[in-house]
Amino acid sequence: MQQSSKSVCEQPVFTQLFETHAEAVRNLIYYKCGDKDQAEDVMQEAFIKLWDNCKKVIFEKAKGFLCTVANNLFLNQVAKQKVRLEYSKIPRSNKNIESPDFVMEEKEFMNKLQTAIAELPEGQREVFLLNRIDKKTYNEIAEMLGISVKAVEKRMHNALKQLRKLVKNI
Amino acid sequence: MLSDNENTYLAKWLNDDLDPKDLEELKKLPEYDDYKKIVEGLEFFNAPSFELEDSLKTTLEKLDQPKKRKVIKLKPILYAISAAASIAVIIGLFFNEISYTTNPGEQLAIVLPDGSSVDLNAASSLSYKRFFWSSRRKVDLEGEAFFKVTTGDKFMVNTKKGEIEVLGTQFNVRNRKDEFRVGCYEGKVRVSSIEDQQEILEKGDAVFLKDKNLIPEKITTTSPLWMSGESLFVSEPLGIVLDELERQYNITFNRGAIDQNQLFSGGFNYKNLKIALESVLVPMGIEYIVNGKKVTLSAQ
Repeated sequence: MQQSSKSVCEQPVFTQLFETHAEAVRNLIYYKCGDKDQAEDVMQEAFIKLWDNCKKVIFEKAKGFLCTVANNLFLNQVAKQKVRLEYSKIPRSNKNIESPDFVMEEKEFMNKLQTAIAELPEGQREVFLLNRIDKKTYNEIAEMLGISVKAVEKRMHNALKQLRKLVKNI
Repeated sequence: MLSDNENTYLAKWLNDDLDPKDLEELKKLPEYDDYKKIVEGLEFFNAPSFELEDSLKTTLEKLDQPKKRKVIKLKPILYAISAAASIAVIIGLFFNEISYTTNPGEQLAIVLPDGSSVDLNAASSLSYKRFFWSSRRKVDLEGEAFFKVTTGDKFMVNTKKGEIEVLGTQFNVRNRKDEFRVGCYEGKVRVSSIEDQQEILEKGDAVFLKDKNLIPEKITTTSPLWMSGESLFVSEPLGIVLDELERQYNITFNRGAIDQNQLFSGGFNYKNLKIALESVLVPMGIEYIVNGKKVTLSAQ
């Protein structure tokens, strides 16, 4: 990777980093703890740490730095909640027939899935949701969490297996 | 083969990365429909909304406080400037000390940098450090002086026999050969002798040092008499009076065989040597011959 001349210490660069990564970092924490406000705080604190260390962190490494710092900050905070993702109320468009029964069934399934996500182990959940919701590639997730791509795949695989078991009550 | 050990076929499938043979195999699994449904279901989940503008704003606000703590490193040019400044300060320190000395028969009025004034009696000297005066108001005194100190940090007068510490006030310090005497004309001063005796003087109080003890006395005048050109003594050894005459008129006594320890009460003015000598020596029964700056004394 070529060393860029962009200094994190310059406010426009910092703002640009914020615009690019803030939401991803916020979600990373959110998928762990399920508390929107806590996630927001941790994210902001991570950016403040980035600013404090702006001389030491090169532009290209800023994202990794933010994720690591946010992770560590989060681990220092004790309170953790269940992750209850909201799902959109948009009816599923790929189904032509929407009988009342079918709608009920769908709704029940979504509720079960919501609960199942909440019950996933933290490590699996964050990887799985980063991929499925934030559309991060395995490579990106590995970089964000500081783990190997192989480990990301393992967690993805196990997460899906686990979700099925939870939804099916196996 | 789709075995769980060391195989993450679901991860590959989710990543559209499964080879066709394995994909066919996966599709035949009874779980496949469940997986598919879960993955499709997940399409409808969202992370909580994110307000980029608001979030950026609060973060930048939080940044403002720690930002002030940042240490700004000196640029190389500043090193050069500070080196030059240091040299200037060092040179300045050599010319730092200011001193004033009065010869016998002279008086001098001095104004210190903070506006405090000092009236220096004859044959006295005063010195102080010019730099950082306002944060360290301290003068060294030999002889006698009257101080009018403006308010501010504590003001110190240092003498060989003791030191005087004040806030804002007027006081007289007399530090002669055998004499140390402080009178307070306004405010409050603290006198500490080198023997670690301490005395706090208020308006009208005075102390003098006798046999290493600070003895209190009272003053009745509003300013020291010497400032109006007079000296007054109450039961003082004659030697001290003669010393004062020498200082005020720049003369030298040839003291011969006279008893300098006999006590003298009275005074003299600084205007006329003839009258001054008369007023001191005649009552004591001492004859004198004036020869220019020399005065020879003899008992009657």
